[in-house]
Amino acid sequence: MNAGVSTESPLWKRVALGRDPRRTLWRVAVLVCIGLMLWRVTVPVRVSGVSMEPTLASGRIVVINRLAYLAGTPQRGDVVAIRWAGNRAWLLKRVVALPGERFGITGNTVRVDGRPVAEPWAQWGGEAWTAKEQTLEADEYLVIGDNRAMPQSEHEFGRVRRARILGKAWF
Amino acid sequence: MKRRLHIALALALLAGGWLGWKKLFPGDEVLIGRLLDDVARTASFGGQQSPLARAAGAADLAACFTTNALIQVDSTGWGLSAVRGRAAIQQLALAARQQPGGLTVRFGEIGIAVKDKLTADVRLVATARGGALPEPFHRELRLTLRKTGGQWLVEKVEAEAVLQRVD
Repeated sequence: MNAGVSTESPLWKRVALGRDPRRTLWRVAVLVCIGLMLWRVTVPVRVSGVSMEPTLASGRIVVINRLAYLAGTPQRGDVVAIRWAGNRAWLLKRVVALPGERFGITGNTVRVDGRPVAEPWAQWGGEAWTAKEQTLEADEYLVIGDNRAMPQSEHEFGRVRRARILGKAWF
Repeated sequence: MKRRLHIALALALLAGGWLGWKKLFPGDEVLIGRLLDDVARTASFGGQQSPLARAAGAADLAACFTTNALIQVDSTGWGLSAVRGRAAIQQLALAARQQPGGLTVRFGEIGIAVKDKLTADVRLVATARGGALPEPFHRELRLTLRKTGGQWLVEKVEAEAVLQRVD
C-alpha cells in the first residue's frame, strides 16, 4: 500500500520558480543580460536646447547607440553624442568633417578639402557664419548642430576628439 | 571569557582612537572635500537675499580662493572669459547675486589628486541651476589648489575644452 506522499512542490515555489526552476533561472539570467545590455548600450537622452533644430526639437527623446563605433568610425552626417560634462551631460551634434580633412566656413557653406558639403539637414539663415580654413588632426572631427539660423557666437560647435564621442543617435 | 572581553575592549579602543585621530587630524583629501563643499555652498544663493546677505555670501565665496586666483570658464553666448584676483571674484559673485531667481551649484564626479604637501589637482563636474539660467549649466572643471597658511584654497579654475572653437 502506498503511503500517499506528495512529490509536488509547494504552491509558492511553483509560482516563483515555475515547474522547472533551472529553466526559469536561465530565463531570468538571459533577461537580466539583455536588460543590462539595453541599459548600457542604448541610452535614451532628452534633447535640451535648440542647436539641433529642426532635426531634433528641444524636449525630444533620442536613443544613443553606444556600440555604433565599436567596429567603425563616425561618418559625415552622423548625429553623435559627445561627452560634455561627466557622465550625464552630453552634446548632440552632426559630424561635418572627418580626421585629416581641411575645412572652412564661408557664406553659410561648409567647405571640406575645397568642396562645399551638401547638408540637407542644415537650416541656415540670419547672420553669415565664417571659420578660417584649418586641418583636423588624426583623431579630430568637426561637429556642428543643424540649427545654423542661430548666431554663430551662441552655437556650441567645433573640433572634438574621438575619445569624447560616445555613440550614434538613433531617432 | 575575560580574555575575549579584553581583546574586544582593546579593539574598540583602537577603533575609537583611529576615528578620533581622523577627526582631529583629517587628511588633505578630506580638507579639500570640505573646501569644495564650501565653494559649492557659498556659490549658491537664494532669490530673495538682503544686500547685506549678498555681500556676506560673495565675501565667503571669495575667501575660498587665493589672492591671485584665476578663473577661466568660457561659455558660448555668455562672453565670460577670465577673472583674476580674489577682489574681482568677489565683485563677480556680488554681481551674480543681483540676478533674480537664485542659483544652486553642485559638484559631482570629484577626483582629487594631492601632488605634494602644498598643491593638488581636482577634476569635477559643476552643475548650476537657477532662475537666470534657461537650462542647467554643466561644465567639467579643472581646479588647482594651494595650501596657504595650513588652509587649502583654490588657485585656478579652468573649464575643460571639449569643443575647440573654430572662429
